[in-house]
Amino acid sequence: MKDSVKLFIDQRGLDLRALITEGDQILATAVLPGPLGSGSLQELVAALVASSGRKPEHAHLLISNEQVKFSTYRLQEMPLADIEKIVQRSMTTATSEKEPIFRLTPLAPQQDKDVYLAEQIPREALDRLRQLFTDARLPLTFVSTGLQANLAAFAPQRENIIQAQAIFDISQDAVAAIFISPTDILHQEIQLIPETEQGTGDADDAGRGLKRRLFAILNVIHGLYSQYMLTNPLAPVEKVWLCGPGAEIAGLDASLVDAMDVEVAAFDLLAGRVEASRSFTPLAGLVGAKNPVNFISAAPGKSLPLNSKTFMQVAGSLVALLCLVVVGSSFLTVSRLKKQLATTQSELQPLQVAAIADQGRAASLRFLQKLDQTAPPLQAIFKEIADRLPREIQLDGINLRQSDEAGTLEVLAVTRHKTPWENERIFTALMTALDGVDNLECKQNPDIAMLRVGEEKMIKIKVTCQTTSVKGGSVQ
Amino acid sequence: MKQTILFCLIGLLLTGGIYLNRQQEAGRLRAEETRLQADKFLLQQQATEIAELAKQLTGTTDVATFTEALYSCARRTGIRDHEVITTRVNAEQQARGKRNRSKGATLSEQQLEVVLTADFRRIAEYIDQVQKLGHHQRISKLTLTPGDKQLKATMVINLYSLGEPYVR
Repeated sequence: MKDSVKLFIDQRGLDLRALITEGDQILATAVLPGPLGSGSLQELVAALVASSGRKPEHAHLLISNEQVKFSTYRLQEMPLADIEKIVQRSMTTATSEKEPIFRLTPLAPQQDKDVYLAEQIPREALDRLRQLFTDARLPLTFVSTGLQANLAAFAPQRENIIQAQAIFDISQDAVAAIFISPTDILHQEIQLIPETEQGTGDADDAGRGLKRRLFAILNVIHGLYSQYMLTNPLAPVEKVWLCGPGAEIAGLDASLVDAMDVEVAAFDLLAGRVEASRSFTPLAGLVGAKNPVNFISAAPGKSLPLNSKTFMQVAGSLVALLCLVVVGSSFLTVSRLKKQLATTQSELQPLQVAAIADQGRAASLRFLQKLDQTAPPLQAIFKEIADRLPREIQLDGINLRQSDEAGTLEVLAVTRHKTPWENERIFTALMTALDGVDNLECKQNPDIAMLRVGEEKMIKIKVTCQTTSVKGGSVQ
Repeated sequence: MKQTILFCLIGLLLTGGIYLNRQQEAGRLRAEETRLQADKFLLQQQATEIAELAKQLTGTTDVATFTEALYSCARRTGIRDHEVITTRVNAEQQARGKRNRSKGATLSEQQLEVVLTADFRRIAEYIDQVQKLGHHQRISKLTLTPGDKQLKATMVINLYSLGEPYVR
């Protein structure tokens, strides 16, 4: 996997020190005058990009000592989580910050009590720094302190300590001292270097100025050492390590050997690889460290609500969008159906008008159609009547009335009146004969009348029947 | 955050209400559409049927041709005593009882009276042939009375047409 390109910036002191790395490889270094601002940051990045040819993907920062609040806590032995809660409560009370950003570093126990050094970075300062880097389109992913950087840089050396050793990280304006044993941090302190008088500018004056500054640094270191010896008389310092830009002053090592009678060594992780390498030691310690202390990861409370808020906003927007889509599609469907209905109605209207106008014509046409289909088969009826008539009865006439509703056929018949009666069932025989004729229904009773023709008496019978069509049913 | 959730819930409720309301409206409109489509289909079908019937049945009453056809029937059935007279024209401004004043809806009626003398068999055959002539006619009245040797038949034939009478 390709290593990411990182930018490391040391904000401490008057100058900004930076190096750009790819994996463990240092590509370039740069030193520019501080303080850290948007202009100086862009200038620093531009210089490093120009010299390395690579653009950093994210930034690591060693925050200035002024922005770190140090406090020491002496507590009974208890789990670290409980200690953190106590410290957090204490800081909240002192600073009114709900979730203070801090890290605890265990120091050497004193009088059966655990001692912790708390380094707190105000949230406001951290937010400002993150915004500064965000504006420069470079995400700030790591923030640490000089103490943590030096401890990380010195970690490989700790196993060689017998009693105690000291690291003096000397910047232009202060000396940070760390007295360290194989197991504990015995003492840590930062002291400002008093300002020395500026010379007139000639060579002699410059030389005197350097000496004055050397003496000032020696004085501060001596003071720190004396302070340490007062509190830790049983752990004398066997070796002193010097790093930071102030350690580059000529004659400091020798003067320190003379003054303190201890072994002095350069704490220089980049010796021979870059110019003024001792000033980059804390940064180099961060580059090589496996799990350096990061103050940004200790501030998750800030980003989570922001993410959560963003998530809620996105979710709310999606829900609103969904609602809009659902409501919109519903209204569109109804609107489309209304249009469709209007179209159908407009198509139906002329059909309805035409149907009303054609009502009479349609009825007339149906009448004509029915007329041809429902005519009673008169020939067949007459033939059957003639065939079925009993011998004693003669057909006297037929009257047919055919209307729209019904067809009526009157059959007039005569028979001789004889006494005694020869065929008493003559009337029923006639009715049966007529009833059996197809397409003829004879349900009414016959009309019977007497008729005298000359000397002969005749019986006249009239039977009224209904005609039906071939297809069945009365003719209508 | 609580406000956002509350707004989301209210929005969802409102959306649900509006959605249900619109769905009901859409259902009603769909049912109306289906009913109208059915009506439209029925009316179209009726219009097609009427057009087809009109093509088949519309025509004018041709009394002259029909009278000639009656004489032809009489000749074919061997009836010699055969008379045809026209009686009256009845143009009904109605469609068998329903109001109608549109063009082409007038059902005109022409009556012819036929008097003939023949035996029963010939009269029956004559009637059969007349019924087969078509021309939207109906024998509305028929009287068979005994004559000297043969039967006398008097019949009224109604001729119907959807068009002007006497137009060939």
